[in-house]
Amino acid sequence: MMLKVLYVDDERINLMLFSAHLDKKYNVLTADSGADGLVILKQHSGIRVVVSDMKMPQMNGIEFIKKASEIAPDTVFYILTGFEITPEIQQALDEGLIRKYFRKPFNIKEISAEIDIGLDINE
Amino acid sequence: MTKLKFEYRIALIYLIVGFLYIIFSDNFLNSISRDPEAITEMQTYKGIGYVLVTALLLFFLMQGHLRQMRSVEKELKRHRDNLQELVQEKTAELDEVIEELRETNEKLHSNSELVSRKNEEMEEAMQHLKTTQSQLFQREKMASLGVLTAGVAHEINNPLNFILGGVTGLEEKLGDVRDEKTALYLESIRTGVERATAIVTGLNEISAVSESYDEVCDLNQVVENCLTVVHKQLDRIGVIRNLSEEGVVVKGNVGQLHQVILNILVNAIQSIDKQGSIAIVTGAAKGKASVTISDTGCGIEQSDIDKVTDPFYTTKSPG
Repeated sequence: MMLKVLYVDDERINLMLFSAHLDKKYNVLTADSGADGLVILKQHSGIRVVVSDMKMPQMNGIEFIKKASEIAPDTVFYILTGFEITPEIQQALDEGLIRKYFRKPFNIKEISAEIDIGLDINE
Repeated sequence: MTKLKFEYRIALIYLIVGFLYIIFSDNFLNSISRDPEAITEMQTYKGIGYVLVTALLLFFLMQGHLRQMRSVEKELKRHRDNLQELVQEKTAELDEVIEELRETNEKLHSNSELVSRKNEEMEEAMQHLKTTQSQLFQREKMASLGVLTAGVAHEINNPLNFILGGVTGLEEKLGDVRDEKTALYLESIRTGVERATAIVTGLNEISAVSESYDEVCDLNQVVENCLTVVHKQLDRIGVIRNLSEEGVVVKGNVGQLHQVILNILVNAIQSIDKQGSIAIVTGAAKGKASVTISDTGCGIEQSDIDKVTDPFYTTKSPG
């Protein structure tokens, strides 16, 4: 059975590209908002990895991950951002809330490799 | 009527008294006796009487006059003494006034020193204010620029993501089955998206606004970012990179460090009239990192070297 990975981004094309690149390797679930992401997390058990965009309307990536980590405490979280590292992201890194942050435009190979490393460490 | 002088007066009185005495005493003698012998004897007494009378007369006259003279002299002496005292008194008073004036003068002098010192302090404060103002202005400008570029960067990063994701997908789909032109098209898209990404990243770092001096600054990356931004101005200038292979990482403020390097680079570019080159060396030795930027431009006059860190200092013409 393929690993379940949730990707949250408010840009539809990003969601499609992420799925298109990784759907052979993982079972990719997508959500176009933090709220939607939380719903999917509750519906699907066993989501091992969550990658979230930082800047989204209503709920930003870190706010979403804070709530998501309560629902799924064993999941590994990553942030994707078009910005430089912000104090908010730095704090999340320091506290271990997220394992790493990726920059946009994202390098699919880097993300894929990092997910594999993250899971090995986690197990 | 003018008063006769004492010597004339005395002689006149003596003459009058003498004549009167002689006339009246002779008449008197002739009236009391006719005997020549008795008259001759009486003449002798009359002579003695004359001497006595004139002596008395002279004595009183002289006494009166001399008394007057002595009192005048005494008065004069008193005046003279008074005058001396007065002069001494006035001199002392004058000394006091002079002393006071001198003190006032000194006070004024020290006051004027104080005023000029205060003036200097004011000028310094003014200069400081100007510098602070320009720094604030610069910071404000960079902050606005930061907000703008961060927003633009984020917006551009998503379409860049589409392009990169798209081209990566196409490359995978085509695998090795691609003709020369397809390879060129894919290569163009990839190069374009990578260059655009580098520019956005550089801009983002250059305009980063943060108060922290504890950020990780990769000197090679800083130099590359700055070169990306001035890329267009480097057409006529060769860049010789000699960047440390191990990389040089220091703690500092990423945004401000970029601005420093960028300013030096822009200065180097402006110093080169037509053709030339800029050499950039990064390295670390004995716990100290260094970035050396040299150019083949016009250079700085030896006498102006001290002024390069003065705010607003420039040798460019105003405007």
